[in-house]
Amino acid sequence: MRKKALVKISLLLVLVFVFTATSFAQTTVEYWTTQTEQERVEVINDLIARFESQQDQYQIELVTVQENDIPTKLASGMAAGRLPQMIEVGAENILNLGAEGMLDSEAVNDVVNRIGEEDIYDGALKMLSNPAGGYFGVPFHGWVQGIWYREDLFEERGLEPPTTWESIMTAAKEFYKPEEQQYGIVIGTNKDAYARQTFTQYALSNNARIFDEEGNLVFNSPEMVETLKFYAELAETTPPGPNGWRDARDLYLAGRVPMMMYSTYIMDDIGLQATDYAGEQGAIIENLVDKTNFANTMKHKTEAVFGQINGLTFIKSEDQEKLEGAKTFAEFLLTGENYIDFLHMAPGGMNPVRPSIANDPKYLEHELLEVWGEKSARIASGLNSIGKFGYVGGRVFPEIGNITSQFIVGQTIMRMTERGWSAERAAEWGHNEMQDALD
Amino acid sequence: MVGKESIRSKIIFVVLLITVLAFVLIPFITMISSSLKPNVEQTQLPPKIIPNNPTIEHYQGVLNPEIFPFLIYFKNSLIVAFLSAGIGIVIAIFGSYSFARLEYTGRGVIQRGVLMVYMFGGVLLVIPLFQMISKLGLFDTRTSLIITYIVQTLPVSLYMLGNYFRTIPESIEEAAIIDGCSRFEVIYRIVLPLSAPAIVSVFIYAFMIAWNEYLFASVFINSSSLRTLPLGLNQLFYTQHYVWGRMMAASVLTAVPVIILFLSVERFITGGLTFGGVKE
Amino acid sequence: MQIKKDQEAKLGYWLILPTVLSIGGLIIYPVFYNLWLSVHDVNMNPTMPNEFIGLSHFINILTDLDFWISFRTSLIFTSTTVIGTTLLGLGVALLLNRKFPGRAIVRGIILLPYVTPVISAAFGWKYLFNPVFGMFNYIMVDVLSILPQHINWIESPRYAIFAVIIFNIWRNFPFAFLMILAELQSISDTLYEAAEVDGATIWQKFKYITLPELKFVIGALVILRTIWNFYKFSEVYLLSSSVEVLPVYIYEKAFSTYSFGEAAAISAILFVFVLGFIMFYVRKVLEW
Repeated sequence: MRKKALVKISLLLVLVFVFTATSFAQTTVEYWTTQTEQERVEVINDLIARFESQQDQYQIELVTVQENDIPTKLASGMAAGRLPQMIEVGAENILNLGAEGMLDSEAVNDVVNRIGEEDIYDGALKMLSNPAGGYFGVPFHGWVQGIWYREDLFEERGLEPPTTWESIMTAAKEFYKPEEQQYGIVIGTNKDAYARQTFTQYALSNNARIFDEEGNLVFNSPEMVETLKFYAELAETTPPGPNGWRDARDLYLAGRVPMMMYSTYIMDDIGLQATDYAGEQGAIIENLVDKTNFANTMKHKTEAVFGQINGLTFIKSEDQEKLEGAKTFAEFLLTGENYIDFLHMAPGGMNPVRPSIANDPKYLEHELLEVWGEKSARIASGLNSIGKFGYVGGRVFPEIGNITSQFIVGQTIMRMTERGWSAERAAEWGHNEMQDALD
Repeated sequence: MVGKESIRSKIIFVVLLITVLAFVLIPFITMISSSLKPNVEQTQLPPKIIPNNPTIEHYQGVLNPEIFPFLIYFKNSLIVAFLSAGIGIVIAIFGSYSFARLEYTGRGVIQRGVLMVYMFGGVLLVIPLFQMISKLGLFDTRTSLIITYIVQTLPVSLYMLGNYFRTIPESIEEAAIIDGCSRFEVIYRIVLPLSAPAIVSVFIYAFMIAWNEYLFASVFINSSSLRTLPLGLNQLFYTQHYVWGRMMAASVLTAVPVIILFLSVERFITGGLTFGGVKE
Repeated sequence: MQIKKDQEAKLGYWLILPTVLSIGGLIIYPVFYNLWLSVHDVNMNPTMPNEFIGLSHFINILTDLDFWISFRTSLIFTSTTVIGTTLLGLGVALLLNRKFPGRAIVRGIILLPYVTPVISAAFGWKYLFNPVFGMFNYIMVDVLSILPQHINWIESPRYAIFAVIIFNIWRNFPFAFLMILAELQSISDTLYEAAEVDGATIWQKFKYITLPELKFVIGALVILRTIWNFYKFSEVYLLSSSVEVLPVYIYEKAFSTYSFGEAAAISAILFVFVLGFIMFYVRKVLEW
């Protein structure tokens, strides 16, 4: 028996040794990205390899996390005592983390200064600013949302482009034939970020806000009720049940809807067929890229553009060395060829936040961007004029993060579309939920 | 029996049988047919079972490491399932032999205690285990999964093996002991060879449970390089360029190994399966 | 001889030790630790101490409408699936309790849903239930006209529970089938032959011979399936996260909103409820 015990103990010791021995290497920086697709991960891995070959102080460990899982994974990382140093994530999540006091704003400001504040779009910087001064995140890339529509079908029926509430509703009703599995439009009607994103554009175009300029919650305002009413009516022309971005993508590419709301990330799906890319093909409709147009501005009481800025941000850490590594890597990613290679992983979808790169011929030289021709330049131009719920009259309300993380907007919409609530009742409910989320 | 049956009852039997088989098989048929359809046909109406232009491009896509790290996930699942089933079976052999053949005070209590585990489903344990795993520094390691799975499958293994060991005539073992064998030698030379089929089946059973597990894996694992197949597949579903065909091909490839393993020992598992012999 | 016995006992303890340690450490201890967590305000940061707050988690939960909605969903889900899997398992077992060519193959096929990884099976069903392209909607609406319009079976909060129930029955009825079939095959033919001599009908034979023989196996199936389905997470969550049964509710409380203490308290309540059910069932229904 004793012999066995000895063997066991020595085995254990060997194991312990093996585990500890590996921890004496270089400084490892953990970087979380929301780019979960393997093709994109490969691009980032190539960039990491390039970074590691240029210096030997820091190693980067890449972790991919789905955008909706970021709060969950951060919380579990915190509970387990293992947080990343750097995260690449949407502006709301960054503001939310900033409001929670988890971010190192100074480190962010450092990187912004190293790159040069003047070479980053103001619109993008504004999205990530810290109300106490400076920034919560370094702007990295952005997308613009709007209605992608079948110009050919619209012209065939003599319909106006879907840029106003009236023209959208008219077209949606015109095309809606559920018995043939043809639907009017896809907009978000589920408990997710997509619903908030598509809804925001309608609300902003109606001057409906979540916060007024004093920062009071005004989700039950008459403008908001009016927007909800319109949105619920429009949702009657959507495919069955709560819809998300996947429905928008599948159904548009399959020719089942003539309109859907989506970000610029759809550009490669629509355009792939026209390139000589040998892999999977997105669209089922022939030459979809030529038949598609994009309405990124919505007009009602005012004009509204919606989009998203993704930023890089740093989690507060005791370990200055890791933090320094993260900052160095962030700067690397935003510079020159590295930056262009990064953006080209989702051509058209990811747009540069640095004017110097946006106009760089090397950036514009990409097969897919060329397929879209002059449309692509117009599409990207929206990036500087994005409006959002968290920003009113030049002020930023990081509290919006609490509301977005609980998908209250989507839940409000679902109460109308799934349970038949009136817009007034839904708005009142959403207002109270938001109040609770803020307290 | 068959001869006495009227034609009518025979027809009813066949119709019912086909209905049952259809209910059981339609999801599998959908999965396989969709994994062989080109993208153009994935979203076509009306839906068809037989693809017009069958293709294996989705399988190629799933197995191409530049598109989807299926092989990494596969490897992780294999390591975790193999080690947890392997270590588990060693513990279970000792434990069930102890239950089946050795007498000591407290044996009954321990045996009943092990069966009590049936009342604690995974979801009751996930919160305390997560806290413990975090405090032990095992968060985001394969070890966390391996030790959890060992314990989750242990009661089943103990029960099945214990039952089997009791069927081995005690006289053989006694004869060996009189010949001067120690108990260890008895286990090694007599019990193990005689119960090889039972051990293989229990191993495969534990392997399947570890292979299929999602809840603990989703909570304990963070890094992409450590994800098991259920985690990886679920993530694939939420990436933008997921395609139904690719999803289905990945699902088929995940299911095939366990189905083959199961069919290879089906006769034994279903023969020896009693109520103690399962846990979900 | 006494020495021999002592030695045997010693060896017995040694051999059972790994089992006791692992089950004690990773099941028994966590259950008590869970209770401890449920009366504390658990800090997200593991280096910070947890604050004792008594029963306030329990008070919060029991006065929270969301908990009761989730509880009701769990009751509906568990009761329908327990009845569904048992009845379907019984029916199919009765159907196959005869000799016909290919019986072994058919039995193997019927067991497939039970052994397929949940993730694979769930994706197959998701595709089947797709609101626009799915076979299920196509057959129910366009071919058979049983339903008036296509339904989003996976995402809709109203209908997703049906999808989850169907999926669970599909996946778990084979287990009931297997257990009942084994029991059926052990019933002696002479019983039926004697009944036939007395002129019993098929129904009478079923009622007076088959059913009493199956009483134990069905009773055990019901209790096991009830326990398992009350704790079911993956089969629900991976098909549709919009069906908030208690395990899903616990998971989201713990790992989305990070109320570990509260989630631990819900687990404790769930456990007590299941335990109560078992005691009631064993005493009153099974009369053991």
